[in-house]
Amino acid sequence: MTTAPAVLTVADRGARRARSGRPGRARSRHYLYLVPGFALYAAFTLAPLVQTIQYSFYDWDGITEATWAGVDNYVAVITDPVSRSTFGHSIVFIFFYTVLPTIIGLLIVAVMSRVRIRFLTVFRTVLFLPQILATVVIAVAWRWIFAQDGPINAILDLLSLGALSRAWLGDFATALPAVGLIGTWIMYGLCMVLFVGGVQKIPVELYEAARIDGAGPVREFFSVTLPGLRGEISIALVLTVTNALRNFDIVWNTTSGGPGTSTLVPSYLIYEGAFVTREVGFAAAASVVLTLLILVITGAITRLLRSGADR
Amino acid sequence: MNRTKSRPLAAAIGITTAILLAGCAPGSGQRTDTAEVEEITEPVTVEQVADLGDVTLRVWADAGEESMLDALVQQYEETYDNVTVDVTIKGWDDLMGTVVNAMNGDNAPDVTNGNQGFAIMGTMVKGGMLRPIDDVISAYGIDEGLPESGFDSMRWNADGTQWGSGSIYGMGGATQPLGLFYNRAKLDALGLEVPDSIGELEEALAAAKAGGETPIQLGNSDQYPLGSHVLGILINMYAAPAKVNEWIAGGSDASFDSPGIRAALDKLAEWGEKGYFAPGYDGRSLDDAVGAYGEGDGVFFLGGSFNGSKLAAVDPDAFGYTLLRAESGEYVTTGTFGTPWHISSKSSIQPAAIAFLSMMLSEDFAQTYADNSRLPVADLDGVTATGSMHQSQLDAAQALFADGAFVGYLDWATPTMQRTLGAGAQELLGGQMSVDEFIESVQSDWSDYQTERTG
Repeated sequence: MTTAPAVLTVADRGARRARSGRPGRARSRHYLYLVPGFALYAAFTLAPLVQTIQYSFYDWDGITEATWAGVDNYVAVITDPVSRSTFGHSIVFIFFYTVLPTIIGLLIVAVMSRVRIRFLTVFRTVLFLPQILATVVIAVAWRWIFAQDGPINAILDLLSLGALSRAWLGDFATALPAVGLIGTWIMYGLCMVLFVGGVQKIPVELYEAARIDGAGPVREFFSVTLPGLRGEISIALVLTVTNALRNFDIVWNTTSGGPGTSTLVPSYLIYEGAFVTREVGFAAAASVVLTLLILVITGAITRLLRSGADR
Repeated sequence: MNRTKSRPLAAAIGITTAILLAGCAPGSGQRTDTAEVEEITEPVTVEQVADLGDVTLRVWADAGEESMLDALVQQYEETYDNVTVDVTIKGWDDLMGTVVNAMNGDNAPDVTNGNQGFAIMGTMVKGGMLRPIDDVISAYGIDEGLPESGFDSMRWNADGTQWGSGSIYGMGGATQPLGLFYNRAKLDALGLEVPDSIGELEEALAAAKAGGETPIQLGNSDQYPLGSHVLGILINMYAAPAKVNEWIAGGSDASFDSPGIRAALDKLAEWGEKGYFAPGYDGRSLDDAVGAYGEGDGVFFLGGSFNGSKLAAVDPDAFGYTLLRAESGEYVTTGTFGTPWHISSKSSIQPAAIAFLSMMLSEDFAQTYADNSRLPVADLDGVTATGSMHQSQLDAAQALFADGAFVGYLDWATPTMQRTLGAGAQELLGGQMSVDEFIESVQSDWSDYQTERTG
């Protein structure tokens, strides 16, 4: 019993000393603890970032001496019709990677909060599986599902809709949404797990109160579940939007950007520029533009949802 | 809160500005430390290699070379027992994405696979990364009996801006001409002979379509090989080889807009309209298409001879392979001496590297290539085939070496040509682009690059 107050006093005194001492000195000593972590962060994240920005102002093949290009690379990223179209495709992917999975996740949660589901853990695991699988595996599997002789066309044939059958990933009209749907399939599991976790934190009393007030399932969802999930929705949106905008692996392994350039995305152009066609400056400029785009959109999402929470 | 947040940002901007203002251009610190090139006049002896002491020879290679290398490394290490060979195998795309930087690094592989054209070989020659091998070729007599034109794509001027003449910087071990595969049983069932010319092929395609077969198996989801190999074969049929080669090499008045190339594009579009290609080809990968063809889906397959080893593995006698006579009556096809091998100019154990390359390219080693149904450059008429399909490939390659004409791969023309052709061909057959627009987009890609290349 005697030690406890002593400890408290020491801690208290320490706190008071820190408070009364000059703030600058105490802080600078504390910063020492950050040095190891910061050194790694600086070497592997900040330095490449700065380097990328530097490269974006040069015309460079990655090997021989670069020549100053000013903002030419940025002008090319913004004016080149193919490059511009890739950013358009990314915006379309936001619908498939973000909007659809969020809606599906919310629907599942809405059902789960009303209906008692047996084997919930099993369902949750199965629905989350796409998140765990390697994207190459997913891409190969979906390439087969979408193929001319794949199951989708087989079902269409059974329904006497054979006229609609096609190679879904090889058709100019359907390739972009087909690739997008693969993203939806990957992402909805993540959204669902986030939302299911979030719903469990909402006090049961709120649901009881809503029911006593005579709220139906729809009203209950919009008045209790949805506001309670604001934080989780914000996280889900940020993660899925980032994935939508930097999408590379699924496109690489299904369509290579084709047919034509109909599913080409910025990351693909960046990879090609940096490693295949050796236009490092252009690739760097496209990376910078893509990074800014991701920062702006995700920043807007968090700001929007946070300011809503403060209200 | 806002102030502390903006501080790192301000710092980052500060650092960036400082670096940018410092104005040291990327790549300006690069310096190629080339080892002294000792030209050889005689083959390297075992003693010369032994003098190097215990050393490791580092080799980078495409996955397609793996089984050949297994045999070669064993034979090499037995002959030169002071050398350990360390082989790194990479898939083609991975290799192409990393080989130039690896060869530019301080720890470059001694021997590596590369690719012809400006993006890979040109950059490496420009950066002084490759050892010229003219002396090796003549000391070992590697060029004996080979058509001189096959070396064109391996020759570069000293600053790596122009190929076609100059020193030889690489050499392939197995030739890979583009050609026509046919399914023997299906030709018999349709009562067709093996086509020998583009005219005969067209008749056969019409008959195959009428007979309810898939005339040409194709898998193009990688935007390849429709715009590069299939179109390439058609261009060989209608355009003058010298003109096409001049265009690929970036000749000053060359143009993609020629009557021959127009005829080839019209034909490609016509085949698309007539439904000669396997349905859904843009949604199917090349590997899957070769697999389907091996299982009997499709009468013909147009592509590189290297697809033959997969088909021969299914059944060594079920398929055949032939080159086609162009409208000029000659066998014309896209091909070379194969994927080039290079020796690093930085290698400190050049005798060991030369011994490795020359063993690989020797007549004694040719049969090992042939055992994998490949077409060794060294002893094309002396090796034993794995079956009738492989024999038909050997015959075709011999005919080409004897008096045919080699055309370069179209995608060597510019670093971006593979995409321009690949995407364009999909758009042409998808009705999204006309022949005129196709030619215009290809020629504009080409002109942009020539301006950039010649400054």
